[in-house]
Amino acid sequence: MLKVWAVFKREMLELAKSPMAFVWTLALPIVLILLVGQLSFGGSSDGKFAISIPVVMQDNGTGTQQFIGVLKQIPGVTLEEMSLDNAKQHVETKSDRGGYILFPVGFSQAIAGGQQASLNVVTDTGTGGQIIRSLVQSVADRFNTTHLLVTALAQQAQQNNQTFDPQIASQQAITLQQNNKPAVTVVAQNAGGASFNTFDQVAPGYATMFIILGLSGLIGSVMSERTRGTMSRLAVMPLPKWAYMTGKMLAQFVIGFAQVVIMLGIAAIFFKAHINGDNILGIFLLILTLSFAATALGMLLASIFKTEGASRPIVTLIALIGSLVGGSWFPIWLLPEWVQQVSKVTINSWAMQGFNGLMIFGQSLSTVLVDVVALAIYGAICLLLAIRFFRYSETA
Amino acid sequence: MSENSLKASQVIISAPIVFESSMVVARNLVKKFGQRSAVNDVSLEIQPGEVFGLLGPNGAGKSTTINMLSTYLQPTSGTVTINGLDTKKNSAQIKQIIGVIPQELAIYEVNTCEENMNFYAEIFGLKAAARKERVESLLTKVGLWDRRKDQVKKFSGGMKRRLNIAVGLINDPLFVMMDEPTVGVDPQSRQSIYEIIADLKAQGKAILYTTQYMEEAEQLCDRIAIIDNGRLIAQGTLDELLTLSEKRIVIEKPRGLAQVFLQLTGHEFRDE
Repeated sequence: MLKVWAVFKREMLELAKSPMAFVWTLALPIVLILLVGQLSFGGSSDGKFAISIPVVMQDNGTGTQQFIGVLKQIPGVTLEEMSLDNAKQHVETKSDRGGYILFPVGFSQAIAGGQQASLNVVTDTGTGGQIIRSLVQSVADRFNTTHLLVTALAQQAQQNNQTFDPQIASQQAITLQQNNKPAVTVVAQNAGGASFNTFDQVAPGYATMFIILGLSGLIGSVMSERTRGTMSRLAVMPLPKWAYMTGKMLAQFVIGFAQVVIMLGIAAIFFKAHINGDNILGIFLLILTLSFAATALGMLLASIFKTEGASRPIVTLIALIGSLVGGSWFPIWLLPEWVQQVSKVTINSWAMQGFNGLMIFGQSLSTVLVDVVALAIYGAICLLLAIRFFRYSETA
Repeated sequence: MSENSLKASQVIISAPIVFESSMVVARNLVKKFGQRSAVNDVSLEIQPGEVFGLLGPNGAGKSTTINMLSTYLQPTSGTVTINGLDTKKNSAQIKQIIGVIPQELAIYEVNTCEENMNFYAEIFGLKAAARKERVESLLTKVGLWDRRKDQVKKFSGGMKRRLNIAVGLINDPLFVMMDEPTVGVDPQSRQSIYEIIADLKAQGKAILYTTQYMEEAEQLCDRIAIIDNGRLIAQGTLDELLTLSEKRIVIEKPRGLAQVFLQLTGHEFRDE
């Protein structure tokens, strides 16, 4: 272990003597978080995310009930059934709600008839409105047309004491699928609102992006050791491959870990991002596994690529695409369902799902444990592959 | 090719000498990369207190041979023993007793001279007191003690070379491999390096020395081997090489090692 410590210590000494590396790993991400946090949403602070959405039910049929059922499953969402006048008052006059949802007459019937159904979302132009629009849209997108239709027909038949004919239902479902139109369209209208603390999203989002962008440091360091000849020199010294890799990774891990802790710390202390005694353990575990997964990914890339020039665009691509689809730039739950599924291959997705759960939705540690474990497995797989492909010497 | 030159395959000037207590014994070393043989049937022995010169044009197989002796590469066939230890079976122990001074400046430029030395010393597991003593002794020897707190990137080429050598000696090795240690250094640094080699020799270290400077090999090496196309084509003391060469190469009497080298390896460029 002393040899691992020697490699780690030297790496840290090198970092301490490179002011530009310090700027890149810490100062730049913090400045960006502050800028994006202020510019996008004004830096408002409500602590835990909980949004109440007024619902106006001019239709009370099966389709409406099913849609509402799916909406209720979203963490932090509370639906308040009220009259249209009351809903308007909350959104347009009091401005204490970001928007309301209106299920128009015939919504359920349209679905049961295999027709396209539409509902109205009337929102303000602020964050609350954006969130409501996105939430409703994401539910509408994932609403399974066939399932919806068949269930509605079955319930309709039951209500009318009729026999449910699966053949007719299936025929109608096929027709609807062939039309290739979504089962529910959302008609959005602008109307004033709810907000959540932007820094709860921006701080972990950018921290996750920068920890991955920072991998170019690890890769560059390994590549540089290859070209300078220090690695082959170490390979003929009593420093085994595992000790070399561990020392290098430990340095990157500590840098990444500190990077995220400092960024989230600043967001919590100065901008009231939601980090407190309730979620601190979960956040700590997430940062730990995120740093591990990212470091292992970096070592894998360093093992696969032969030059720093070849690896740099790939790291940038992984960081940017991961941020785009993995929820670093936008809350992951606002992204289309298929994007959410595809994003599971990214580190960002698991990390942000966990951070959002803890910091925005106030979920418990047990809920986000799956994300923590996923990150740990992600890191372990990358590490095993890195060990397999890392070239050190023929004997080490 | 010059008229004076002979093909490598045409001459084997001297067979390897078999010693009773060699520090390094390499027998029939072969290293293949795919179908290509980088080293083919190389045998050599190096005694304690001996400077053994390994000369050859670019791409001749010098580095591959050193890499096998230093345990970096596994021979495709053949054996190497260092201080009686087989490199295939005892690489961990061997790494403790060898010192490799590569041609590249394998040091960390951002770190200070002392940090470099301490780092490599820690890799060999030197404890704090022993480390301090060893670092001070070596840096004094290579004339860098007063500059120990300076970042290496501020050093001249000669200073970096000397530090590169000091790092290779940090573990007080029994067998030292020096790969062109005087490339690009000023006469003062070169002289300092020669003194270090003489000191190592006096301490009874076995030294494998490669260089492109023939006069250097003439001055420093007790025995010299010339390798070309992966094969050892000549081996012996300077006098033996000159004498044998004179006998075998009738076209022109060799005036020195450079002449022998060119006669054996030819005048063609060996751009890698």
